[in-house]
Amino acid sequence: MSRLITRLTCLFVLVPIIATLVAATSVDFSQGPWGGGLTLDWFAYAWPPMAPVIGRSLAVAALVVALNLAVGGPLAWWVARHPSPLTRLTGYLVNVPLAVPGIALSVALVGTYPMLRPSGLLLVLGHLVFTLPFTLAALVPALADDELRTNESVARSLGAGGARVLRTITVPACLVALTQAVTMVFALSFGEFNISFFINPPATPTAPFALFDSYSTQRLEPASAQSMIFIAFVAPVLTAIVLARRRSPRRTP
Amino acid sequence: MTTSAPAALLGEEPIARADGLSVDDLTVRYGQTTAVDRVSLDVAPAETVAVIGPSGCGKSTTLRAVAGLVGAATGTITLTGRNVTTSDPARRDIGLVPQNYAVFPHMSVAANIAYGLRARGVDTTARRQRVRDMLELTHLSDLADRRPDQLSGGQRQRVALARALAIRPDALLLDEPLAALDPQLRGGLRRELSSMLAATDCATLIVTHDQREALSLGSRIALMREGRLVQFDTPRRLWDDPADAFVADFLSGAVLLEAERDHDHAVALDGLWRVPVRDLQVRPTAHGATRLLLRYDSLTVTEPHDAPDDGSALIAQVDHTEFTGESLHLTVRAGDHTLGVRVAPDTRVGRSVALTVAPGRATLLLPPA
Repeated sequence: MSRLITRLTCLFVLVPIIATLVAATSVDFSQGPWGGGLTLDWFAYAWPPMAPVIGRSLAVAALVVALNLAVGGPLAWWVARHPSPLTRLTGYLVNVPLAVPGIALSVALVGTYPMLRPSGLLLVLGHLVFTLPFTLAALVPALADDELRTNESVARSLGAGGARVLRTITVPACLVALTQAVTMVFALSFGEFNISFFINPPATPTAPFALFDSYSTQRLEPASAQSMIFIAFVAPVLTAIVLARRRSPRRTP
Repeated sequence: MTTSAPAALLGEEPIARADGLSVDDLTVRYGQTTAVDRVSLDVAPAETVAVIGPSGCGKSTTLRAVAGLVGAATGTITLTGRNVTTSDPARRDIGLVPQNYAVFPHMSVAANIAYGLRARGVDTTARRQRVRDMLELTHLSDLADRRPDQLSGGQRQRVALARALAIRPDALLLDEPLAALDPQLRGGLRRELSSMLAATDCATLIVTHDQREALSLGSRIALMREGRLVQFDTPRRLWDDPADAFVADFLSGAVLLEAERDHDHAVALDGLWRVPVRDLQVRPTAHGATRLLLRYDSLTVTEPHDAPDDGSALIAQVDHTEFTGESLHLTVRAGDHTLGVRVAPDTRVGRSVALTVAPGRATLLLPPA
């Protein structure tokens, strides 16, 4: 039964992607799948305007991931290791952006920090605010784990300093949670539309905004080709991050 | 706290304390709660001291304070003459083996053992030699490349022990070393652990709630209750001369009754029970008061109407009976007194019983005249 549900779920996700691929490789999709024949011309047409947009979105997503680890890591540590009313309140507050509509969040950010908008920093910070709850949701339980804390205590008693304990005990133990956080944050930032739409200057759009623009103003075929380019970039990055966590460190004496 | 008479007075060799572990007047608080209250104990080099007590008595907190994992509110912890009370755990030279062993799951057996040596910057040649020595000591040479999830509980315990000993610690701390193992395995592993500890020269502190473990592994036992040290002495003296009823009950399930010597009788329970001294072993006590020590084989049970009427039998109502395999645990009531006693498992028990002391099986503890 569970296998059937898994297969149906995979099918549900894959069918639209396959349909998009069919549209992107059809000369004229209005005549049906591969109407007028099979072509890769739409990819050649879509790539030049899409390349800088993809580059920009990748850069924003990478920056958001880095900031999440830099800000979310210590914050998750504090929440996990110092349970108190203040840390619980912090946990609730961090989750507030999830309940606020993107437009409200964007207007609030643009209204409060207009000077950060032109540089693109406000977009990065907007994505950070939006993705931070996911980082905390992944890292806090891992860092609060009793077994990890005992392992850290033992490592300290054996003579390891704080940095060594973090590098050799804490990070390997949290690798799955870290991977979850990184993949989730990267995917959310790369595909985020609402905040990008309202905060980002139109002259420098991110990939989701460019896709929206294409679907609004162009034919279905080139817009579908842009979608496939988008998927082609995000899928390998996510796969690489997931595979990276399988490489757990092996040590020799 | 009750302490025993000096070792020299008891005809035992005094143990030098200069180089081992010393805990003086240690108090640990968690917020408003005092977890450890003015505890003092010491462990000589190559000695094993077992800290025992019921859950929540502060024994694990004492161990964590010695390891530097919780701070001391007051008191001092001295290790080989160094005051380490406020030292960072990494600088104490203490080997810690926690209850779940904390074998690092992402490292091989050998890498686990080498961890402390790496952290201390020991060069590769010396490190590999020390790891080989530790693998040999703990009979793990064939498992050096295994991952922790491929090991049994006993093997993981040995990895944790080897890792702690590899750094040549001044003190070794073991928290419930056998608690995570199957009961069937504990006996053999206890003997194995004992022989491995005998091969070390560091002061070893073992925390356990298991009386048998404490009696067999500790050359001395510190018994704690509600954060305080109740008695700190050799297993034999704790067994023979418990400081109070709690010690007697916790360590051996024995009953310790306040008593008075009245010529040829020991009188207990406000005169309800007059036991002829000739039926008792008489021993000196270092704990002040005259007391009657009853073990599970100290009493015989008869029907009340068959009992002698000279006061040597205690007539009591049976409130509760519990069969525990090796004995029958009775909760009996005599006058205003309720006490739990253990008798032979095949004893026939009615609603009321007459308890008499089996000659030579109970002990009268008398303070020095």
